[in-house]
Amino acid sequence: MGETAGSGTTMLNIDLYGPYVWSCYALTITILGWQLYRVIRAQKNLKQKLKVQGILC
Amino acid sequence: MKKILQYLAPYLSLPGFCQWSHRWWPWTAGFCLLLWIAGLVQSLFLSPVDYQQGEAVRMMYVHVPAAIWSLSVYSIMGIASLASLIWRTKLMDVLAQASAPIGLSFTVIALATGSIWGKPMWGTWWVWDARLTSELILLFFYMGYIALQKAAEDHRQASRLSAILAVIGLLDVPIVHYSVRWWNTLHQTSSFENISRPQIAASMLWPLLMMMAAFGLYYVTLLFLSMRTQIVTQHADRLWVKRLVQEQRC
Amino acid sequence: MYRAFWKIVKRDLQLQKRRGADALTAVMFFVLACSLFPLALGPSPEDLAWVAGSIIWVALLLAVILSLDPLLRVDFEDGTLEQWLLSSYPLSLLLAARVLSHGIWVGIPLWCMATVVAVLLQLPDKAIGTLMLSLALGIPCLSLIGLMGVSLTLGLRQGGLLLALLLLPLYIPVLIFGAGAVNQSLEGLPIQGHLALLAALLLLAIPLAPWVAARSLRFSIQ
Repeated sequence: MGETAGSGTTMLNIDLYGPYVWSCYALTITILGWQLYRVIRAQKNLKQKLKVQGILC
Repeated sequence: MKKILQYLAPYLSLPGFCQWSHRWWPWTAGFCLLLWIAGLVQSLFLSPVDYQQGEAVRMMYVHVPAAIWSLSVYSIMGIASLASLIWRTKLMDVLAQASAPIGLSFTVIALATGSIWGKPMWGTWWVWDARLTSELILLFFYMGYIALQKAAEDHRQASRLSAILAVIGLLDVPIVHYSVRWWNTLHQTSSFENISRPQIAASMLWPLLMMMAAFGLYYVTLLFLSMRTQIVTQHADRLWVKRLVQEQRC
Repeated sequence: MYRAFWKIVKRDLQLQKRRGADALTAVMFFVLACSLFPLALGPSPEDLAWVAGSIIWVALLLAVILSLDPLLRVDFEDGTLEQWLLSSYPLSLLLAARVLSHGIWVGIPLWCMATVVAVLLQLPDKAIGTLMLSLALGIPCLSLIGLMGVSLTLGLRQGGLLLALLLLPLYIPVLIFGAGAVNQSLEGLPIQGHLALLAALLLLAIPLAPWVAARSLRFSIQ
Protein backbone atom coordinates (compact mmCIF):
# COMPACT_ATOMS: atom_id res chain seq x y z
CA MET A 1 0.00 0.00 0.00
CA GLY A 2 1.55 3.28 -0.98
CA GLU A 3 5.11 3.71 -1.96
CA THR A 4 7.71 3.76 0.76
CA ALA A 5 10.69 5.75 -0.25
CA GLY A 6 14.22 4.74 0.45
CA SER A 7 15.86 1.65 1.72
CA GLY A 8 16.04 2.81 5.28
CA THR A 9 19.45 4.24 5.93
CA THR A 10 19.72 7.01 8.42
CA MET A 11 22.22 9.29 6.80
CA LEU A 12 21.81 11.92 4.13
CA ASN A 13 19.48 10.14 1.71
CA ILE A 14 17.88 13.36 0.65
CA ASP A 15 16.78 12.25 -2.77
CA LEU A 16 14.99 9.21 -1.53
CA TYR A 17 12.57 10.89 0.85
CA GLY A 18 10.25 11.63 -1.97
CA PRO A 19 8.01 14.61 -2.45
CA TYR A 20 5.71 13.93 0.45
CA VAL A 21 8.11 14.41 3.32
CA TRP A 22 9.69 17.47 1.76
CA SER A 23 6.39 19.11 0.96
CA CYS A 24 5.27 18.59 4.56
CA TYR A 25 8.31 20.33 5.91
CA ALA A 26 8.24 23.00 3.24
CA LEU A 27 4.59 23.71 3.98
CA THR A 28 5.22 23.92 7.70
CA ILE A 29 8.16 26.26 7.33
CA THR A 30 6.23 28.40 4.86
CA ILE A 31 3.20 28.82 7.06
CA LEU A 32 5.22 29.46 10.21
CA GLY A 33 7.43 31.84 8.30
CA TRP A 34 4.38 33.68 7.02
CA GLN A 35 3.09 34.14 10.55
CA LEU A 36 6.48 35.41 11.65
CA TYR A 37 6.49 37.82 8.73
CA ARG A 38 3.02 39.02 9.66
CA VAL A 39 4.04 39.73 13.25
CA ILE A 40 7.25 41.50 12.27
CA ARG A 41 5.45 43.57 9.69
CA ALA A 42 2.85 44.62 12.24
CA GLN A 43 5.66 45.74 14.52
CA LYS A 44 7.31 47.70 11.74
CA ASN A 45 4.04 49.41 10.87
CA LEU A 46 3.53 50.29 14.48
CA LYS A 47 7.01 51.76 14.73
CA GLN A 48 6.36 53.78 11.60
CA LYS A 49 3.12 55.08 13.02
CA LEU A 50 4.72 56.00 16.31
CA LYS A 51 7.55 57.78 14.54
CA VAL A 52 5.05 59.83 12.59
CA GLN A 53 3.24 60.70 15.79
CA GLY A 54 6.49 61.82 17.27
CA ILE A 55 6.46 59.37 20.14
CA LEU A 56 9.51 57.54 18.88
CA CYS A 57 12.77 59.26 18.10
CA MET B 1 -3.75 31.16 46.62
CA LYS B 2 -4.23 34.82 47.28
CA LYS B 3 -0.54 35.18 47.98
CA ILE B 4 0.29 33.68 44.60
CA LEU B 5 -2.10 36.05 42.87
CA GLN B 6 -0.69 39.00 44.75
CA TYR B 7 2.81 37.98 43.78
CA LEU B 8 1.82 37.58 40.15
CA ALA B 9 -0.33 40.68 39.88
CA PRO B 10 2.37 43.14 38.76
CA TYR B 11 3.41 40.74 36.00
CA LEU B 12 -0.16 40.35 34.83
CA SER B 13 -0.77 44.03 34.36
CA LEU B 14 -0.29 45.49 30.93
CA PRO B 15 2.75 47.63 31.72
CA GLY B 16 4.24 44.84 33.81
CA PHE B 17 3.81 42.39 30.99
CA CYS B 18 5.49 44.75 28.54
CA GLN B 19 8.45 45.05 30.88
CA TRP B 20 9.18 41.41 31.40
CA SER B 21 8.27 40.28 27.90
CA HIS B 22 10.74 42.82 26.55
CA ARG B 23 13.41 41.16 28.63
CA TRP B 24 12.53 37.59 27.84
CA TRP B 25 11.47 37.48 24.22
CA PRO B 26 15.01 37.43 22.77
CA TRP B 27 15.67 34.38 24.92
CA THR B 28 12.58 32.51 23.81
CA ALA B 29 13.34 33.47 20.22
CA GLY B 30 16.92 32.25 20.50
CA PHE B 31 15.99 28.93 22.07
CA CYS B 32 13.20 28.54 19.57
CA LEU B 33 15.63 28.92 16.69
CA LEU B 34 18.06 26.47 18.28
CA LEU B 35 15.35 23.91 18.86
CA TRP B 36 14.04 24.29 15.34
CA ILE B 37 17.44 23.74 13.81
CA ALA B 38 18.22 20.83 16.11
CA GLY B 39 14.76 19.41 15.64
CA LEU B 40 14.86 19.64 11.87
CA VAL B 41 18.28 18.04 11.71
CA GLN B 42 17.13 15.28 14.03
CA SER B 43 13.86 14.58 12.33
CA LEU B 44 15.03 14.88 8.77
CA PHE B 45 18.44 13.34 8.93
CA LEU B 46 19.29 11.59 12.14
CA SER B 47 16.17 9.83 13.23
CA PRO B 48 15.63 6.24 12.22
CA VAL B 49 13.31 4.93 9.60
CA ASP B 50 10.12 3.24 10.62
CA TYR B 51 9.68 -0.47 10.05
CA GLN B 52 6.29 -0.11 8.40
CA GLN B 53 6.21 3.38 7.00
CA GLY B 54 9.74 3.94 5.82
CA GLU B 55 10.82 7.48 5.38
CA ALA B 56 7.26 8.74 5.49
CA VAL B 57 7.31 8.55 9.25
CA ARG B 58 9.33 11.76 9.24
CA MET B 59 6.11 13.63 8.59
CA MET B 60 5.04 12.69 12.08
CA TYR B 61 7.58 15.13 13.45
CA VAL B 62 5.66 18.10 12.11
CA HIS B 63 2.16 16.71 12.08
CA VAL B 64 1.94 15.56 15.70
CA PRO B 65 3.40 18.69 17.33
CA ALA B 66 1.23 20.92 15.14
CA ALA B 67 -1.90 18.97 16.06
CA ILE B 68 -1.16 18.86 19.76
CA TRP B 69 -0.24 22.53 19.89
CA SER B 70 -3.30 23.56 17.90
CA LEU B 71 -5.47 22.00 20.57
CA SER B 72 -3.34 23.39 23.40
CA VAL B 73 -3.45 26.90 22.02
CA TYR B 74 -7.21 26.72 21.79
CA SER B 75 -7.39 25.57 25.39
CA ILE B 76 -5.10 28.42 26.42
CA MET B 77 -7.36 30.83 24.55
CA GLY B 78 -10.39 29.43 26.29
CA ILE B 79 -8.88 29.54 29.76
CA ALA B 80 -7.50 33.03 29.21
CA SER B 81 -10.92 34.19 28.00
CA LEU B 82 -12.52 32.66 31.06
CA ALA B 83 -10.02 34.45 33.28
CA SER B 84 -10.64 37.70 31.46
CA LEU B 85 -14.40 37.37 31.90
CA ILE B 86 -14.16 36.46 35.59
CA TRP B 87 -11.42 38.80 36.71
CA ARG B 88 -11.60 41.39 33.94
CA THR B 89 -7.88 41.35 33.22
CA LYS B 90 -7.11 43.03 29.95
CA LEU B 91 -3.95 41.00 29.54
CA MET B 92 -5.90 37.76 29.26
CA ASP B 93 -7.99 39.31 26.49
CA VAL B 94 -4.89 40.26 24.54
CA LEU B 95 -3.44 36.81 25.15
CA ALA B 96 -6.47 35.09 23.68
CA GLN B 97 -6.73 37.38 20.69
CA ALA B 98 -3.05 37.18 19.82
CA SER B 99 -3.03 33.40 20.17
CA ALA B 100 -5.79 32.86 17.67
CA PRO B 101 -3.90 33.35 14.37
CA ILE B 102 -0.98 31.27 15.63
CA GLY B 103 -3.31 28.48 16.68
CA LEU B 104 -5.05 28.72 13.34
CA SER B 105 -1.74 28.26 11.51
CA PHE B 106 -0.95 25.22 13.64
CA THR B 107 -4.34 23.76 12.79
CA VAL B 108 -3.81 24.37 9.07
CA ILE B 109 -0.38 22.77 9.27
CA ALA B 110 -1.80 19.79 11.14
CA LEU B 111 -4.54 19.30 8.58
CA ALA B 112 -2.31 19.78 5.55
CA THR B 113 0.50 17.57 6.83
CA GLY B 114 -2.06 15.02 7.96
CA SER B 115 -3.47 14.97 4.47
CA ILE B 116 -0.04 14.74 2.85
CA TRP B 117 0.89 11.97 5.28
CA GLY B 118 -2.29 10.16 4.39
CA LYS B 119 -1.49 9.89 0.72
CA PRO B 120 1.43 7.47 0.92
CA MET B 121 -0.07 5.81 4.00
CA TRP B 122 -3.64 5.11 3.00
CA GLY B 123 -3.60 6.12 -0.65
CA THR B 124 -6.05 8.94 -0.14
CA TRP B 125 -5.71 12.65 0.45
CA TRP B 126 -8.32 12.76 3.14
CA VAL B 127 -9.97 10.31 5.46
CA TRP B 128 -12.73 11.03 7.92
CA ASP B 129 -11.10 9.49 10.90
CA ALA B 130 -11.73 10.84 14.38
CA ARG B 131 -8.55 12.84 14.75
CA LEU B 132 -8.54 14.57 11.38
CA THR B 133 -12.26 15.33 11.58
CA SER B 134 -11.88 16.83 15.04
CA GLU B 135 -8.99 18.88 13.74
CA LEU B 136 -11.16 20.13 10.88
CA ILE B 137 -13.87 21.17 13.30
CA LEU B 138 -11.24 22.90 15.42
CA LEU B 139 -10.33 24.84 12.29
CA PHE B 140 -13.93 26.02 12.07
CA PHE B 141 -13.86 27.06 15.70
CA TYR B 142 -10.74 29.13 15.14
CA MET B 143 -12.18 30.71 12.00
CA GLY B 144 -15.38 31.61 13.81
CA TYR B 145 -13.42 33.21 16.64
CA ILE B 146 -11.28 35.29 14.31
CA ALA B 147 -14.31 36.26 12.22
CA LEU B 148 -16.17 37.46 15.30
CA GLN B 149 -13.15 39.40 16.48
CA LYS B 150 -12.81 41.16 13.14
CA ALA B 151 -16.53 41.90 12.86
CA ALA B 152 -16.77 43.94 16.03
CA GLU B 153 -15.34 47.40 15.48
CA ASP B 154 -14.83 48.61 19.01
CA HIS B 155 -11.91 46.62 20.35
CA ARG B 156 -13.32 46.35 23.82
CA GLN B 157 -16.57 44.90 22.54
CA ALA B 158 -14.60 42.63 20.24
CA SER B 159 -12.58 41.26 23.11
CA ARG B 160 -15.64 40.69 25.30
CA LEU B 161 -17.67 38.91 22.62
CA SER B 162 -14.80 36.76 21.42
CA ALA B 163 -14.01 35.90 25.03
CA ILE B 164 -17.50 34.48 25.44
CA LEU B 165 -17.19 32.59 22.18
CA ALA B 166 -13.85 31.15 23.29
CA VAL B 167 -15.36 29.95 26.56
CA ILE B 168 -18.27 28.37 24.70
CA GLY B 169 -15.70 26.72 22.49
CA LEU B 170 -13.69 25.55 25.49
CA LEU B 171 -16.72 23.63 26.71
CA ASP B 172 -17.75 22.53 23.27
CA VAL B 173 -14.45 21.25 21.89
CA PRO B 174 -14.36 18.24 24.25
CA ILE B 175 -18.00 17.51 23.40
CA VAL B 176 -17.17 17.67 19.71
CA HIS B 177 -14.12 15.47 20.14
CA TYR B 178 -16.00 12.76 21.95
CA SER B 179 -18.97 12.87 19.62
CA VAL B 180 -16.66 12.65 16.60
CA ARG B 181 -14.83 9.73 18.18
CA TRP B 182 -18.16 8.03 18.80
CA TRP B 183 -19.26 8.79 15.24
CA ASN B 184 -16.07 7.39 13.88
CA THR B 185 -16.00 4.13 15.83
CA LEU B 186 -19.46 3.31 14.55
CA HIS B 187 -18.15 3.42 11.02
CA GLN B 188 -14.75 1.91 11.58
CA THR B 189 -13.88 0.71 8.15
CA SER B 190 -10.22 -0.19 8.23
CA SER B 191 -7.01 0.11 10.16
CA PHE B 192 -6.81 3.87 9.98
CA GLU B 193 -6.25 4.04 13.68
CA ASN B 194 -2.89 2.32 13.26
CA ILE B 195 -1.39 5.67 12.57
CA SER B 196 -2.60 7.37 15.67
CA ARG B 197 -0.69 5.44 18.32
CA PRO B 198 2.51 4.12 16.90
CA GLN B 199 4.78 2.69 19.54
CA ILE B 200 7.37 5.35 19.86
CA ALA B 201 10.93 4.14 20.09
CA ALA B 202 13.22 6.29 22.17
CA SER B 203 15.18 7.28 19.10
CA MET B 204 11.98 8.69 17.65
CA LEU B 205 10.77 10.20 20.87
CA TRP B 206 13.57 12.70 21.21
CA PRO B 207 13.11 14.37 17.83
CA LEU B 208 9.40 14.46 18.51
CA LEU B 209 9.87 16.13 21.86
CA MET B 210 12.32 18.55 20.37
CA MET B 211 9.87 19.54 17.68
CA MET B 212 7.14 19.86 20.29
CA ALA B 213 9.32 22.24 22.26
CA ALA B 214 10.27 24.08 19.07
CA PHE B 215 6.63 24.63 18.16
CA GLY B 216 5.88 25.67 21.70
CA LEU B 217 8.62 28.26 21.89
CA TYR B 218 7.62 29.52 18.47
CA TYR B 219 4.12 30.07 19.83
CA VAL B 220 5.40 31.82 22.95
CA THR B 221 7.77 34.08 21.03
CA LEU B 222 5.24 35.13 18.44
CA LEU B 223 2.67 35.51 21.19
CA PHE B 224 4.87 37.92 23.13
CA LEU B 225 5.61 39.99 20.03
CA SER B 226 1.97 40.07 18.92
CA MET B 227 0.73 40.94 22.37
CA ARG B 228 3.20 43.77 22.73
CA THR B 229 2.19 45.19 19.35
CA GLN B 230 -1.47 44.86 20.15
CA ILE B 231 -1.13 46.46 23.59
CA VAL B 232 0.79 49.43 22.24
CA THR B 233 -1.63 49.87 19.34
CA GLN B 234 -4.72 49.74 21.50
CA HIS B 235 -3.41 51.96 24.26
CA ALA B 236 -1.21 54.31 22.28
CA ASP B 237 -2.64 57.36 23.94
CA ARG B 238 -1.68 56.34 27.44
CA LEU B 239 1.27 57.98 29.10
CA TRP B 240 2.83 54.79 30.35
CA VAL B 241 2.80 53.38 26.83
CA LYS B 242 4.59 56.41 25.46
CA ARG B 243 7.22 56.20 28.15
CA LEU B 244 7.63 52.49 27.66
CA VAL B 245 8.02 52.78 23.93
CA GLN B 246 10.68 55.42 24.31
CA GLU B 247 12.59 53.36 26.82
CA GLN B 248 12.50 50.11 24.97
CA ARG B 249 12.82 50.89 21.35
CA CYS B 250 14.82 54.01 20.94
CA MET C 1 -41.70 36.50 37.50
CA TYR C 2 -43.01 33.56 35.62
CA ARG C 3 -45.95 35.62 34.56
CA ALA C 4 -43.50 37.80 32.65
CA PHE C 5 -42.14 34.68 31.01
CA TRP C 6 -45.54 33.55 29.79
CA LYS C 7 -46.53 37.05 28.80
CA ILE C 8 -43.55 37.30 26.51
CA VAL C 9 -44.29 33.90 25.02
CA LYS C 10 -47.88 34.87 24.36
CA ARG C 11 -46.93 38.25 22.94
CA ASP C 12 -44.35 36.73 20.63
CA LEU C 13 -46.79 34.17 19.36
CA GLN C 14 -49.35 36.85 18.65
CA LEU C 15 -46.80 38.98 16.84
CA GLN C 16 -45.67 36.00 14.83
CA LYS C 17 -49.22 35.20 13.88
CA ARG C 18 -49.66 38.69 12.54
CA ARG C 19 -46.38 38.75 10.73
CA GLY C 20 -46.77 35.18 9.66
CA ALA C 21 -43.97 35.07 7.18
CA ASP C 22 -40.98 33.93 9.22
CA ALA C 23 -42.03 30.38 9.92
CA LEU C 24 -43.34 29.91 6.42
CA THR C 25 -40.06 31.05 4.87
CA ALA C 26 -38.05 28.74 7.07
CA VAL C 27 -40.27 25.79 6.26
CA MET C 28 -40.23 26.52 2.55
CA PHE C 29 -36.46 26.80 2.59
CA PHE C 30 -36.30 23.49 4.41
CA VAL C 31 -38.45 21.71 1.84
CA LEU C 32 -36.55 23.35 -1.00
CA ALA C 33 -33.16 22.36 0.39
CA CYS C 34 -34.31 18.79 0.93
CA SER C 35 -35.65 18.63 -2.62
CA LEU C 36 -32.31 19.63 -4.05
CA PHE C 37 -30.73 16.38 -2.99
CA PRO C 38 -32.82 13.98 -5.06
CA LEU C 39 -32.23 16.31 -7.98
CA ALA C 40 -28.52 16.04 -7.37
CA LEU C 41 -28.37 12.37 -6.45
CA GLY C 42 -30.82 10.81 -8.84
CA PRO C 43 -34.27 9.46 -8.10
CA SER C 44 -33.41 5.88 -7.16
CA PRO C 45 -35.32 5.14 -3.94
CA GLU C 46 -32.74 2.82 -2.43
CA ASP C 47 -30.02 5.47 -2.58
CA LEU C 48 -32.28 8.16 -1.24
CA ALA C 49 -33.47 6.09 1.67
CA TRP C 50 -29.95 5.69 2.98
CA VAL C 51 -29.21 9.40 3.01
CA ALA C 52 -32.68 10.75 3.71
CA GLY C 53 -32.18 11.10 7.44
CA SER C 54 -28.90 12.93 7.02
CA ILE C 55 -30.32 15.22 4.34
CA ILE C 56 -33.22 16.17 6.55
CA TRP C 57 -30.95 16.87 9.48
CA VAL C 58 -28.54 19.06 7.51
CA ALA C 59 -31.33 20.97 5.78
CA LEU C 60 -32.95 21.47 9.17
CA LEU C 61 -29.74 22.89 10.59
CA LEU C 62 -29.54 25.41 7.78
CA ALA C 63 -33.21 26.30 8.01
CA VAL C 64 -32.93 26.91 11.75
CA ILE C 65 -29.91 29.15 11.28
CA LEU C 66 -31.79 31.18 8.69
CA SER C 67 -34.81 31.49 10.92
CA LEU C 68 -32.74 32.68 13.85
CA ASP C 69 -31.70 35.95 12.38
CA PRO C 70 -34.83 37.91 13.26
CA LEU C 71 -34.94 36.34 16.69
CA LEU C 72 -33.64 39.37 18.51
CA ARG C 73 -33.03 41.82 15.71
CA VAL C 74 -36.43 43.49 15.63
CA ASP C 75 -36.43 44.04 19.35
CA PHE C 76 -32.89 45.28 19.19
CA GLU C 77 -33.78 47.82 16.55
CA ASP C 78 -36.78 49.27 18.28
CA GLY C 79 -35.20 49.41 21.69
CA THR C 80 -37.18 46.72 23.43
CA LEU C 81 -34.04 44.77 24.19
CA GLU C 82 -32.59 47.66 26.11
CA GLN C 83 -35.76 47.75 28.15
CA TRP C 84 -35.28 44.09 28.84
CA LEU C 85 -31.74 44.79 30.00
CA LEU C 86 -32.92 47.47 32.37
CA SER C 87 -35.89 45.61 33.71
CA SER C 88 -35.82 43.83 37.00
CA TYR C 89 -36.53 40.45 35.48
CA PRO C 90 -33.55 38.22 34.85
CA LEU C 91 -32.56 38.63 31.25
CA SER C 92 -31.96 34.93 30.81
CA LEU C 93 -35.58 34.24 31.65
CA LEU C 94 -36.82 36.72 29.08
CA LEU C 95 -34.51 35.25 26.48
CA ALA C 96 -35.68 31.75 27.35
CA ALA C 97 -39.23 32.93 26.69
CA ARG C 98 -38.13 34.19 23.29
CA VAL C 99 -36.57 30.83 22.48
CA LEU C 100 -39.69 29.00 23.55
CA SER C 101 -41.87 31.07 21.29
CA HIS C 102 -39.42 30.57 18.46
CA GLY C 103 -39.50 26.85 19.09
CA ILE C 104 -43.27 26.79 19.02
CA TRP C 105 -43.70 29.03 16.03
CA VAL C 106 -40.87 27.79 13.83
CA GLY C 107 -39.84 24.50 15.37
CA ILE C 108 -43.17 22.76 15.32
CA PRO C 109 -43.94 23.50 11.65
CA LEU C 110 -40.42 22.38 10.75
CA TRP C 111 -40.92 19.22 12.71
CA CYS C 112 -44.19 18.45 11.00
CA MET C 113 -42.76 19.25 7.62
CA ALA C 114 -39.86 16.93 8.29
CA THR C 115 -42.26 14.01 8.50
CA VAL C 116 -43.69 14.86 5.12
CA VAL C 117 -40.28 15.33 3.58
CA ALA C 118 -39.09 12.06 5.10
CA VAL C 119 -41.79 10.25 3.21
CA LEU C 120 -40.86 12.11 0.04
CA LEU C 121 -37.25 11.11 0.47
CA GLN C 122 -38.24 7.45 0.74
CA LEU C 123 -37.22 7.07 4.35
CA PRO C 124 -38.51 3.69 5.59
CA ASP C 125 -41.24 3.78 8.21
CA LYS C 126 -39.16 2.33 11.01
CA ALA C 127 -36.73 5.19 10.68
CA ILE C 128 -39.35 7.90 10.56
CA GLY C 129 -40.24 7.36 14.19
CA THR C 130 -36.61 7.75 15.16
CA LEU C 131 -36.36 10.83 12.99
CA MET C 132 -39.31 12.40 14.75
CA LEU C 133 -37.88 11.62 18.14
CA SER C 134 -34.41 12.86 17.33
CA LEU C 135 -35.80 16.05 15.83
CA ALA C 136 -38.04 16.62 18.83
CA LEU C 137 -34.94 16.55 21.01
CA GLY C 138 -32.73 18.28 18.51
CA ILE C 139 -34.77 21.28 17.41
CA PRO C 140 -34.97 22.84 20.90
CA CYS C 141 -31.23 22.24 21.23
CA LEU C 142 -30.59 24.04 17.96
CA SER C 143 -32.79 26.95 18.99
CA LEU C 144 -31.02 27.30 22.32
CA ILE C 145 -27.53 27.15 20.85
CA GLY C 146 -28.75 29.52 18.16
CA LEU C 147 -29.83 31.97 20.85
CA MET C 148 -26.23 32.11 22.06
CA GLY C 149 -25.00 32.73 18.55
CA VAL C 150 -27.54 35.45 17.87
CA SER C 151 -26.74 37.32 21.05
CA LEU C 152 -23.04 37.27 20.16
CA THR C 153 -23.49 38.60 16.65
CA LEU C 154 -26.30 41.04 17.24
CA GLY C 155 -25.65 44.28 15.47
CA LEU C 156 -22.38 43.21 13.92
CA ARG C 157 -21.86 43.62 10.24
CA GLN C 158 -22.12 40.47 8.13
CA GLY C 159 -24.43 39.23 10.85
CA GLY C 160 -26.12 36.43 8.94
CA LEU C 161 -23.03 34.79 7.53
CA LEU C 162 -21.07 35.29 10.71
CA LEU C 163 -23.91 33.69 12.63
CA ALA C 164 -23.81 30.64 10.39
CA LEU C 165 -20.01 30.43 10.69
CA LEU C 166 -20.22 30.50 14.47
CA LEU C 167 -23.20 28.22 14.88
CA LEU C 168 -22.39 25.38 12.52
CA PRO C 169 -19.39 24.08 14.48
CA LEU C 170 -21.46 24.29 17.65
CA TYR C 171 -24.24 22.35 15.95
CA ILE C 172 -22.00 19.50 14.93
CA PRO C 173 -22.49 17.30 18.04
CA VAL C 174 -26.27 17.65 17.72
CA LEU C 175 -26.01 16.68 14.08
CA ILE C 176 -23.80 13.70 14.82
CA PHE C 177 -26.16 12.28 17.42
CA GLY C 178 -29.36 13.16 15.63
CA ALA C 179 -28.48 11.96 12.15
CA GLY C 180 -26.60 9.08 13.71
CA ALA C 181 -29.74 7.92 15.46
CA VAL C 182 -31.70 7.89 12.24
CA ASN C 183 -28.97 6.05 10.37
CA GLN C 184 -28.69 3.52 13.17
CA SER C 185 -32.38 2.77 13.01
CA LEU C 186 -32.08 2.22 9.27
CA GLU C 187 -29.70 -0.61 10.01
CA GLY C 188 -31.81 -1.90 12.86
CA LEU C 189 -29.25 -1.04 15.50
CA PRO C 190 -30.20 0.39 18.91
CA ILE C 191 -30.72 4.10 19.10
CA GLN C 192 -30.96 4.68 22.83
CA GLY C 193 -27.37 5.87 23.09
CA HIS C 194 -27.77 8.56 20.47
CA LEU C 195 -31.08 9.76 21.84
CA ALA C 196 -29.76 9.78 25.37
CA LEU C 197 -26.82 11.91 24.32
CA LEU C 198 -29.13 14.25 22.46
CA ALA C 199 -31.25 14.55 25.55
CA ALA C 200 -28.12 15.24 27.57
CA LEU C 201 -27.15 18.04 25.23
CA LEU C 202 -30.64 19.48 25.50
CA LEU C 203 -30.58 19.33 29.28
CA LEU C 204 -27.21 21.03 29.26
CA ALA C 205 -28.40 23.72 26.88
CA ILE C 206 -31.61 24.63 28.68
CA PRO C 207 -30.00 26.33 31.69
CA LEU C 208 -26.72 27.33 30.07
CA ALA C 209 -27.76 28.86 26.77
CA PRO C 210 -30.05 31.62 28.07
CA TRP C 211 -27.51 32.52 30.74
CA VAL C 212 -24.63 32.75 28.27
CA ALA C 213 -26.85 34.64 25.85
CA ALA C 214 -27.79 37.13 28.57
CA ARG C 215 -24.12 37.76 29.37
CA SER C 216 -23.23 38.25 25.70
CA LEU C 217 -26.22 40.47 25.12
CA ARG C 218 -24.99 42.87 27.74
CA PHE C 219 -21.78 43.23 25.78
CA SER C 220 -23.43 43.32 22.39
CA ILE C 221 -25.83 46.09 23.15
CA GLN C 222 -23.68 48.74 24.75
